[in-house]
Amino acid sequence: MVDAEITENRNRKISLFFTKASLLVVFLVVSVIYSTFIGSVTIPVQNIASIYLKQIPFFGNFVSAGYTYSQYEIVVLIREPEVLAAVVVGAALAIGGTSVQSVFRNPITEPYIIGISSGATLGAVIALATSTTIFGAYSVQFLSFFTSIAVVFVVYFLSFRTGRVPPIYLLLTGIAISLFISALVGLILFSSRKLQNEAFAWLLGSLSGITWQELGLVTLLVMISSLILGTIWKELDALQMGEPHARSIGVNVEKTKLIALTVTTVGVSAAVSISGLIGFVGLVIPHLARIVFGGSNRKVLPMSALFGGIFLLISDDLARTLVHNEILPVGIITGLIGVPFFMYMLSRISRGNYVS
Amino acid sequence: MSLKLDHIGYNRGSFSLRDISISVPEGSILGIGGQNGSGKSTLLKLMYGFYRPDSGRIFLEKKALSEISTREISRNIAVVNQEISEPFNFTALEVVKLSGYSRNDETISPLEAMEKCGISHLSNRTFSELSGGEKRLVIIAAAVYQDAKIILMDEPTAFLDVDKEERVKAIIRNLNEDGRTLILVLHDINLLNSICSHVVLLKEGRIIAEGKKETVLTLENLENAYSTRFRILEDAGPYKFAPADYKLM
Amino acid sequence: MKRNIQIISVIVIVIIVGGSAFGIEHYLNNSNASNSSKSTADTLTPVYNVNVTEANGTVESFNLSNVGGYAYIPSPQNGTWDLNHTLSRIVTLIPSVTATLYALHSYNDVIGVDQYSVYPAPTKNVTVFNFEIGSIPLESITNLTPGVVVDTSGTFSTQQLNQLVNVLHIPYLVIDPGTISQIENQTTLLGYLTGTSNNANIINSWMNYNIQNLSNDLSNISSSSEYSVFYYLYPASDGIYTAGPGTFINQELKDAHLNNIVNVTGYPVVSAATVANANPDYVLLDQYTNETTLNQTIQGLPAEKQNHIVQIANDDFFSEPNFRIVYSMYWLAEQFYPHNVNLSDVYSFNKYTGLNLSQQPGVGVNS
Repeated sequence: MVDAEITENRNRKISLFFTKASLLVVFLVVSVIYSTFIGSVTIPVQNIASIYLKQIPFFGNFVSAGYTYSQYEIVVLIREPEVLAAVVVGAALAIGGTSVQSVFRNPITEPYIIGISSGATLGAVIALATSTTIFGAYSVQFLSFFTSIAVVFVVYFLSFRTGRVPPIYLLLTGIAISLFISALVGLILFSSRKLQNEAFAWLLGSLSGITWQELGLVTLLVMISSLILGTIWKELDALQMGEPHARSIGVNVEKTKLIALTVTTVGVSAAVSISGLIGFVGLVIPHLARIVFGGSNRKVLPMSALFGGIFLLISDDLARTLVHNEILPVGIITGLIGVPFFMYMLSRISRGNYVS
Repeated sequence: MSLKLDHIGYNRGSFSLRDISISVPEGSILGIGGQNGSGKSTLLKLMYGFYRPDSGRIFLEKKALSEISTREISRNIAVVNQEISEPFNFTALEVVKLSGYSRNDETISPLEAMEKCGISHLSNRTFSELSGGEKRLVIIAAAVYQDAKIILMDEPTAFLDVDKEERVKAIIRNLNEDGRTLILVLHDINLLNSICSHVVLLKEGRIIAEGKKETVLTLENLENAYSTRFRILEDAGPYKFAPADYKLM
Repeated sequence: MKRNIQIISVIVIVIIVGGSAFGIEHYLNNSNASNSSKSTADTLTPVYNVNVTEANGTVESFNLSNVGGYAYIPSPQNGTWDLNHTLSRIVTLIPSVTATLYALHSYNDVIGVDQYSVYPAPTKNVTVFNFEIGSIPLESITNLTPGVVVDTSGTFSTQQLNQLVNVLHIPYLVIDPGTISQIENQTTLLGYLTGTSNNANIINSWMNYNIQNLSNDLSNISSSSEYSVFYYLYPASDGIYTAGPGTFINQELKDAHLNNIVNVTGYPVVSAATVANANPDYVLLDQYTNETTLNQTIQGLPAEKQNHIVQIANDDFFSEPNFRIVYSMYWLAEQFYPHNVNLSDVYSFNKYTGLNLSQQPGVGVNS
């Protein structure tokens, strides 16, 4: 009797999970399509529809235009990459948050804490200050990507203690190095007031201006890093129980941390290099996924990616449409939505029915 | 499956373990006793490779522990740590399931393991919402599910209610009857006396006595280990030893 | 163990390959650029040379460093921006450029302006971009299909500029004149770009005529009897924003025979102590600040006690680098040397140039 009941219970749970997950997927797809319909320029729905059809290989040849070239440019070259970038960046930040929170066993950590944000800012500011063009139009993105990875590695190696990297050292070193790098950034910015505007925009985060080219590369990096994180979901789960326990059930704790932090850094740095610093996604979204889908990373990793993509997409839609004919930095919107949600979560946490 | 510690030294500044040699007999319940800070828990963490000894070697069967993969160790040694971090929003069942990480085949299901520990009713409860005692039982169930020949437990009965303490003791005896070797860190002398077959007494990082319970648990050894005079209580149920100035009311 | 090493090596390869791809892509495109014409090299390299083929076939060349500017253009060939026709769809996000285009009779070519371009008042065919809270959506600009976007630097992020120039193929022109001769060059450049070179020459000649007259009127003021002034732009956290050498504002002051106490080039922040130390005869207060702020940031200045404070009546004239600074210079001179100069001494624009602007360029300088 117990067995049958358990199986039935389990089946019900699985089907409930699939219902929730597929609802999210459908919602994501619908919001992606809807997001390309909105913007400061109003384009008739049938025009956007025919632009979509035109984009389908071979079939597109049979679609009569009926739209202007600038409408095509707006949908295909401006809105589509930006909308997809919102999904990819949101997913990368949320997955990164899930992984970092698991490694640190700390609900209020996010990927930025290990030095990604300060490193990326340093790279961006250096690129802007020296107006380097070694990597063409993508010098800012490129430099911020590499500096951020470099800074995380510095943090990691400074945290070594007798062959281990205790999370608490990693956390404190990350904060310390981040402050140090921020001071450097401040120094560079202080010496050039003209730079402050551009750097400010970068610090607030923006998805405007992303091209297909950079989106392709970033998506590739984010996908690879997410897939690798997906293969170590059990290890990440075990880390949450504390390193002594994780080790006792056979998890190679140090290697898991190294892999998790490396791939997280690559994925999040890639995302940040095109988006600037977008806050709160990495902090809040993993918890949302855990509340809805339970704590196991098997579900939390993919579902936080979905939630993160949807969250940033909606935030970006608001950033693009809240004020007529102006774009707000999306980081402001995520902050405005993120903070109240974070406070709500804190109250849940303090009531002890989530983590105590 | 035997565990043998060969002249282990472990030095961390003000604290160190020196020249620890223990041979854990198969099928025994080995208790490690001693004062707070005598190195009991550190010794336990050395035994499954979480800490690496600075000198000496630990042998699992015939192989040195440092040469066995983490997974392989965990197939043979399960651990019930005293302090467990609380994972985000895990159910008790998920916590137990985690311990199947290294298992190739499933001889016992996670629910059966929980059943064995009498906590199958907790399986869908959130782990972090459970009481301290329930959490301990979940971790013990996880160790049962891990299905290792050797089980290490750090203070398995500390802070437990009387009924839970009895249940833990019963589980330990059952596991031992199944042929498992148990190594328990216990600060309570009377527990050492009542459930262990073998005892190691530590003082300031050194072994002062080791062997069968009967030969180790003597008034002289206890006095040496705990720096307090003891006397033997007669007819006090499970309680045999008490500090010399302790008055039974 | 082995598996982990494999994973780490995959990651390293991905970082190197993925990262380098930005660069490789760039260099591939660059090498294409020299070989084929259809290249779309993604670079944001400033271009300084402009060649415009006018309607009559003559080619006018211009070096953008003469207006303190540069251009980002799609597929720059040999660092030159070749225009085989004059520009007809212009988005200008600089008020001084908007006003100049109006004076050149090229306002019909303007399709979009920023919110501060109030001279002339935008017609209903002109889109006005507000960017008080956020930035300008590129799709709104694309929707206008402009031939060029004229701007000062800092409005767009490099990412947006890359999309604008390399993806949407819209040239981006930065103009930032620092001297009066660069302001005249700006008029010349805009004349070339819109095929109104003759008008540009007349406007410059009007400017020179008036500046020469001003110089004559003030010639009896010796350098020792000039007033020293401090231009109070707006307060910063660590001092006061002002204008120093290398700015057209500095030259306005100089031509009005005022001695700027600031000797740091550009638009620096100077400390209150520096100002107090230099002890200017007068404080020239910007239109958008006030005496209370002045008194709070710099205390005990003799100029304050003597009420030697002159507030600029209309910033649109004083701080927008175009032909209208003539009015601002006369206005300044009148404030300090009323016996020598009067604002009404400015020779009429319409009369001199015959360009007959319906919205008079000098209206509002003293209000």
